[in-house]
Amino acid sequence: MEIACTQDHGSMEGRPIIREANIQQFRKHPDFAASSMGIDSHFPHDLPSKVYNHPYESYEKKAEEKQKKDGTTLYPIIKSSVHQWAMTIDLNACTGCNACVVSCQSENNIPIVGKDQVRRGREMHWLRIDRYFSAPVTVPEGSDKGKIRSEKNLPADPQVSVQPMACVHCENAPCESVCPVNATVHDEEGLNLMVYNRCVGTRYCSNNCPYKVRRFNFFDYNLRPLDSLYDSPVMLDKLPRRPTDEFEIAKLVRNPDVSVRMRGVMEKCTYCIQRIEGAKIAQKIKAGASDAVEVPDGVVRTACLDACPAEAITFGNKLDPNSAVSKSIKNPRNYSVLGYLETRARTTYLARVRNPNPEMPDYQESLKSPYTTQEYFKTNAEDPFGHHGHHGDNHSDHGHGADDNHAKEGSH
Amino acid sequence: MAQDSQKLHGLLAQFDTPADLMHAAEMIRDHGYSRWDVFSPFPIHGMDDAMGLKNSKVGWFTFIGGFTGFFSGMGMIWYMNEFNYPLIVGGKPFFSPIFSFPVAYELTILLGAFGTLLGMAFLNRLPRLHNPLLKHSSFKRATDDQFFLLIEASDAKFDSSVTRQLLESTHPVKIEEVQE
Repeated sequence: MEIACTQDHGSMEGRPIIREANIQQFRKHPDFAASSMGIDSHFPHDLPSKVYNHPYESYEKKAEEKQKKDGTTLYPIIKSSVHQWAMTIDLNACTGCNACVVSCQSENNIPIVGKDQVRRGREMHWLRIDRYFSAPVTVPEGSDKGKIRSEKNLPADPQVSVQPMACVHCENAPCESVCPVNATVHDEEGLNLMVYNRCVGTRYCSNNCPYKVRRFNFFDYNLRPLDSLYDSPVMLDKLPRRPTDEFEIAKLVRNPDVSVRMRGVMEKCTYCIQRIEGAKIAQKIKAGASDAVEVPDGVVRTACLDACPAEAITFGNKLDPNSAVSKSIKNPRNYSVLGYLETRARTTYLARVRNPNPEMPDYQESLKSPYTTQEYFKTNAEDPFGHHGHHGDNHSDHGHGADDNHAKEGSH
Repeated sequence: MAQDSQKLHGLLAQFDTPADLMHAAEMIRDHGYSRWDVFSPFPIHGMDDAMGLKNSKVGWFTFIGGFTGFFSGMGMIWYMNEFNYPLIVGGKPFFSPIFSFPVAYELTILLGAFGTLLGMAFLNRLPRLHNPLLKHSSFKRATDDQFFLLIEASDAKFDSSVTRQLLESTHPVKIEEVQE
């Protein structure tokens, strides 16, 4: 029996994709996720000058200088000084209930592709929930570090970590550089746009996306019944199609604010751009002739945010220092997934903190540190909560010698 | 003669051997004629020197074409990406000579080739609908076994009798007038 599954690999293999700590560890190092886990935590704080600057930085300056000098500027507005959108997802709050996935699917007219297509890896969800299992790390004394990767036995009592993952709207988007037709570009508000009309379906962007969040419409999922996906388009008129009445009903399901994509087009999370634009237009009407075009915090609610029962998702304007998302970005638990790629993702995550109760009968020594953290430690031979994990931060509290070794202890 | 009303195109001297033609060419070169040419059934080594021909100027046209192509390619991309329709792609600068190089390179080759072709045509005064030599009956042997030297009447130094005397001193088989 084949099972249609969107994630058949259950381990992070010690990579810091989801970053976790126990409450005691978190109290000692509130910023453990960004400052002591992952390759990016080893970056020097004062990077030498870059080869080139992001247009958001270099051209804003140029345009300003020209504006001051001439009163006008040839340079178009590259970066909006009103809105810069960003999102945070609190892994502490997320329970992996999938409500956001369903909400996204219905909001954005995402086709349902059926079991057969999912088995071929052609699922279309713009938002997915990554699920990772981890177990207490046991490495026999003297064995190779890589050994834990080939663990074949199913752990008796694994820990589960979940992480919603959609397009993170990287400012330095790797998908954009490889598009031969500029079908995916940035706008002035930090959104990674997907221009469906320009897309010719090379799928280079999907291949180059480090987060693997781009989805390709292989067939006319929106037009054909799932059992005639493979029929020749030349014969389309002669083949059985959706009965007209069924098709009319299917149309009613669509969100009229979102374009229904045809086949051969790449698609991905848009940060619910239809809601952003709606809010902006409403605000402009309200503002009238005045300058108050900035959408107030909390007005733009993405579909996933709307659906999240745990309120794990925060979305808003990064430029407003008082917005919920700005505050969330300043949270010490905030970190960027694959931050070492210098993608400058707009969606960042808040690390997860576990709080196992030592009074419980099933409590064991191995629970002293989250299993994923143990895995990370064992694979990378660095203790995120030890002395070596920290760079540039002056923590007065370094008296945690016992804590330094607890991950090791816990594993034996 | 009925041909009086026609314009003289030039004087055509006919030779039996390439050596005779070569000596004649050297003499004409030394007398400073500029609009003249030799015709032979096969290439004659050393004839360039004997005629005093310098390197072809077509290379300059090639260079100008290539230069224009390279900078129009770069300039086009610079203008379009920087001013006309700037797009933020992967956080990269709007213009860089590196990514626009292939286009500039292709245009270098294209306009370089155009420059070469048009420059060659210009220097050879092509296209030309008709060359009076082609209707001259004895000139047909230029593709067979005879060697010819033509001094055009449009040459500044051309003088019907003087030039004819000069040609006669090179001992041609015969000298004929070519009419337009």
